[in-house]
Amino acid sequence: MLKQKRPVTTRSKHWNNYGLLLLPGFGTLVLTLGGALFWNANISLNRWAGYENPIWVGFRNYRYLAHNEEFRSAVLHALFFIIPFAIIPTVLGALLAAIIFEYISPRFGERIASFFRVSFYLPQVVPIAISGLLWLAILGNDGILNMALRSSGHGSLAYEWLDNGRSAQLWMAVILIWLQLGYTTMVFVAGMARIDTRLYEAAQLDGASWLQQFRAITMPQLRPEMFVVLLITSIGALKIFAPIYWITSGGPFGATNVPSLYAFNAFYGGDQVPFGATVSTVFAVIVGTLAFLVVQLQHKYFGGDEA
Amino acid sequence: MPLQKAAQTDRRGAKRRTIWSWLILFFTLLTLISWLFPFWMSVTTALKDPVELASSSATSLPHSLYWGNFTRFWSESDFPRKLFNSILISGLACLITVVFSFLNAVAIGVGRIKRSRLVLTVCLIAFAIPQEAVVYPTYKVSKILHIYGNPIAVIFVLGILYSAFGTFLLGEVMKSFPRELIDAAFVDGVRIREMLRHVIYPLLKPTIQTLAVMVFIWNWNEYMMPLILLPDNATQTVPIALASTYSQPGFNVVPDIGWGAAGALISAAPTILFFLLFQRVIARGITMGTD
Repeated sequence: MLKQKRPVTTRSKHWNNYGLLLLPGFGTLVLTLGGALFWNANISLNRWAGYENPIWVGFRNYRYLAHNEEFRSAVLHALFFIIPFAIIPTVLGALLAAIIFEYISPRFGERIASFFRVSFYLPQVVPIAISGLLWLAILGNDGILNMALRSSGHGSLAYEWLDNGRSAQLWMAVILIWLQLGYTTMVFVAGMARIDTRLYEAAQLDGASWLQQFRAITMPQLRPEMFVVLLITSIGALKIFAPIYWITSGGPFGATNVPSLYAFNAFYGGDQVPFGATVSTVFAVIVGTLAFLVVQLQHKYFGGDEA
Repeated sequence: MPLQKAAQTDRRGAKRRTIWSWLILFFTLLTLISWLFPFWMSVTTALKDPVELASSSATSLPHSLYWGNFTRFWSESDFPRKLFNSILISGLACLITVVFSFLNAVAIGVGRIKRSRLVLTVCLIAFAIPQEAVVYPTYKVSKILHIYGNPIAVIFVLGILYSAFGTFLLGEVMKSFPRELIDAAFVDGVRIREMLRHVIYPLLKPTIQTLAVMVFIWNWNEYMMPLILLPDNATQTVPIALASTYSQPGFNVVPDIGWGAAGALISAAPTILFFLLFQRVIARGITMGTD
């Protein structure tokens, strides 16, 4: 084997054009994604409907967007959905993970704990087109919830759950929590497996209760996981499309509309392509900048090699 | 990895079960039941015949097992073909992602190219950018290249888009490899191809498996790109086929609940099966970015 360590520069004698390996994958990514984004931005500077020739209008679409009430409310909805899609699942997920990993697992065994962990993750696996259908079947006007209320003699409580703006927003929030909890729980359970058990042993010697241990040890130790989970889920909330598209399609009357869906609908109609391009360009810039800031922050606080 | 370790050495030691612990188990179970309620309810709904569906309460159990909803969805949606399309598209796109990500990661991890952090940052941003921002140009290009309606278009786009995530994942793991190992291989005069096969690939294998499983599921659940790029019913994927059970997406009306529930169950079965088979691998992947 290697006895005397030779200088690392021997490497240069061998094939050293590793940058070339980036060409097929990274090169295509930058070319296609960059090209598509650029094209999209270019479209947003035009005006045309259907088949007539595009007319260059500069930033007029952007000025229009800035004063567009529909877009503003869509952005506000996306910001609101950070609560049920990022914040609540993070808090509940930490709690559920603690119950599963620190409470149930030592008392009832790893098998039962693993069963809980996997089952709560199920909504993450099933395509949203499918779980959306299930929720529609529950919440529709003649859906299962209303039928159950009527057949149990509480017919007066039956309600048009998805036809009322406030109610649709709240049900969407419930569905988003339902979707996301499994992901956060899974991450936190793995994080807890990493915490040094001696911390808990010391705390138990001091007579700390389970709740005290959770607050004093588990929560602070899980800070890196908290950070990553909150960021990923928040970006997910801002980009949210599928659950809204399949369940309320932004309705009723735009009460659950979000920027992604707003852009998609403008494209899909075919007559508002430049406007859709405007919305999605603005949105891509916002999300891209956020992601960039996240990397910088992570690099700064969690050491250079992890970012 | 961390989970398995915890499983082997029950590190906190077995503890006594008190009334309290049974109560907590009971409430967790109750929460889980409410969590899985939509799935359970679709089972009971799908197994009722139309007459019973109209007359009985929604949460009641079916009197007798009625399979008509399942057989009708299976044949009317041409399900075997959709299944084949989904497997083909998800599998090939997954392959593109894995190959490209591996090459990128080798350049970052073995080659230690300059600006590798820039590459990783670009990949993370690319992964974060919403698909709507590229969907219209993609549609246009597919028309220009005459691959509009051809699964190749979807395979290529999804493969490329997810290679951003793959590069990020593999690149991070690669950076943690012992430098000496790679240098030693170089000094011993090992050819690059042999080193990739005998040193790098075995080390990266668990991560590559994780990447493949996760990306396969994501591709399977993808809807926007297949929806836009595959207008023809014969080339569409499973999630899009299910859309036919909605009268129109977003008008929150399911015309035929029994049919819709049966369709949802049939369509969800492959992903659930896949997930249960690979759940350990997936758990490893979900937590990879955090520890």
